Amino acid sequence: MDNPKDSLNNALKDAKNMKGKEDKKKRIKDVLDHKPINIRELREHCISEFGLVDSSIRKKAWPILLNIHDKVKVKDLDDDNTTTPKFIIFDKDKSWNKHQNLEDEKTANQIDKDVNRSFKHFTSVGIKNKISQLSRMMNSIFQINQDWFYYQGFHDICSVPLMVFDENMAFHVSISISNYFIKDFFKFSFDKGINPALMLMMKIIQVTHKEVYEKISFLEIPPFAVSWIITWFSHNLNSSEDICRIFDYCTASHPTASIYLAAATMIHNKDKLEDLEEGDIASLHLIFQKLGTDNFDLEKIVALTEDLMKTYPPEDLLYENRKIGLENDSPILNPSLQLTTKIIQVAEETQEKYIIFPHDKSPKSGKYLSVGNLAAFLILIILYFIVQYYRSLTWLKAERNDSKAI
Amino acid sequence: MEKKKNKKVFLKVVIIGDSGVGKTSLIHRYTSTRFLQDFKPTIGAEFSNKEVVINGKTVVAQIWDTAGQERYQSLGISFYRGADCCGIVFDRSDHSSFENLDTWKNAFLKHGAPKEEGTFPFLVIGNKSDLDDGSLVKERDAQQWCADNGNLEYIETSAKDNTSVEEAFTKLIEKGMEREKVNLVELPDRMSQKNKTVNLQRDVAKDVNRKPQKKKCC
Repeated sequence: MDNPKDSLNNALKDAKNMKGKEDKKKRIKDVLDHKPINIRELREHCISEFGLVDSSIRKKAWPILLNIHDKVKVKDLDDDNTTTPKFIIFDKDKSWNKHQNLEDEKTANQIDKDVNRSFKHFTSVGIKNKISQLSRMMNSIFQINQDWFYYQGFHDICSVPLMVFDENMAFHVSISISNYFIKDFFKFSFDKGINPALMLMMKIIQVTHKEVYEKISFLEIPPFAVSWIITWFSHNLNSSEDICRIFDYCTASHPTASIYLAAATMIHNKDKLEDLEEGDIASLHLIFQKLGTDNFDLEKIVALTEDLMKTYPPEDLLYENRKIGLENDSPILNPSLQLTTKIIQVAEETQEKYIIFPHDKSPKSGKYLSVGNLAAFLILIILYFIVQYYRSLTWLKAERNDSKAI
Repeated sequence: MEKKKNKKVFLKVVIIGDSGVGKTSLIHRYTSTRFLQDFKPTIGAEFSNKEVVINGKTVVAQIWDTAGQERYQSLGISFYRGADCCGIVFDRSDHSSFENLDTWKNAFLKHGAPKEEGTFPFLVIGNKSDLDDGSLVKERDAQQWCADNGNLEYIETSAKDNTSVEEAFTKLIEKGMEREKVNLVELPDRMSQKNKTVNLQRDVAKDVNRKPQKKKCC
């Protein structure tokens, strides 16, 4: 199998990748060092090949992408009267720690069982310490948000920030990921979160790759894709680098990104479906359940995901499937991070720092439409009063003329 | 007749029970003869195959491993349908998992909807027998529960020590085969038979598609 030509090609490819990664690290550092930080550029780096490359960059970038600040001063883009910012970057608030005793015993037991089965695929020292940190974090999250229902797999999500940050920051990153991206999956009924997500995945495949859809459409809800979507592949992939790369992509994208990733994973492996007989759920399951662990063609799948997002954008997908069962507070329906368009001024320790959230994607932003509408409405009212005023003036004038004539 | 003897039998085996009782470990021990210390919780469901010869017949056991968290049950139930036998696992060192046997059995009967509700082949498996510190669920209590719940068979196992794991699955498969005695059929027929049970919705959809065609003809 391993002929010399292949191994030479692989070595060349590795060397090229290494160079590419080093170059990219430099470019991302430039973005992070240049104040104000251009969030759009940062997001583009998250999406393009290799993502944010390594943890030293993720440490700085994820909190910015996830909008985690202690106190921020929001300023309008058009306001050039810049005042001196005096705030500290990143949330230093540790008050969450007071809530680590989860009253809901059943959930606490389940969390306990799952955290003890965490970090198994990472072989670093201090795992025991990480497990107790993970346990504290998760108990607090569900004690603070008592209307969220824990699902097995959320512990996989929370273990990822713990690989990059200390416990406090990992808590805030996990909370932000929950609020901005995956909150739907905490709904008690799967029909309000997990099932709609799976159905959306099937719709993406149906609209963009009908031939693949026809092969798998006998399954209304493919269960093997559940963990892909609700854990951002952190349950499935073995390499922590690969998992972080997916997190780069998802935190910089629309909240449907993990659904598109799942669709892309199936589409990318469509050759494996060739011999599949209709109705053979067992074989279909076998094809996909181990995909995450061996030979996950990460960069190609991410690139394909980005293509899918362009050919069938989330806005169209969600509009065409608006009765799929998601609730009004769904982050999937309200992608708030992508809509931030203000300059946020933040000072990191003594150094001044400005962050720009430029107007990204999502041209269909409700906020802007309503601002526009409001402006138009105000102008109309003002016009109306001017006209009325003018008319009353001429009327008065006419009356005066009349009285004079009399 | 002789030709028929050589044909493979496909059996759908479903394993259910509380989270963390060792369903995945048992299946892994049986199918790959290893004990995984670093197992992960099962999300959704996992599938594995094992080909065995039982009573001179080649059987392919299609084993479905399900998630233990109650919330995942709505996903698991799609796997219950068309099952030939079902193993309900509890952890002998976790008494609440024993108390939940009732819930699991009823959920399986309700959602799997097997034709013969009273005689459907269940096997109750008390796992983690290696953790014996005197506080394990007693065999007598487990046997009593099985007697009270339709004379089910009970077996004690340890996936860690590899105690009675093979025996448990062999029993389960034999039970499934007994039930299937009447219709031992070859793969394609058997698969299509399963399709009918699993793909109700799809069939309905097809019927809906057919209707307008009929209208066109008229």
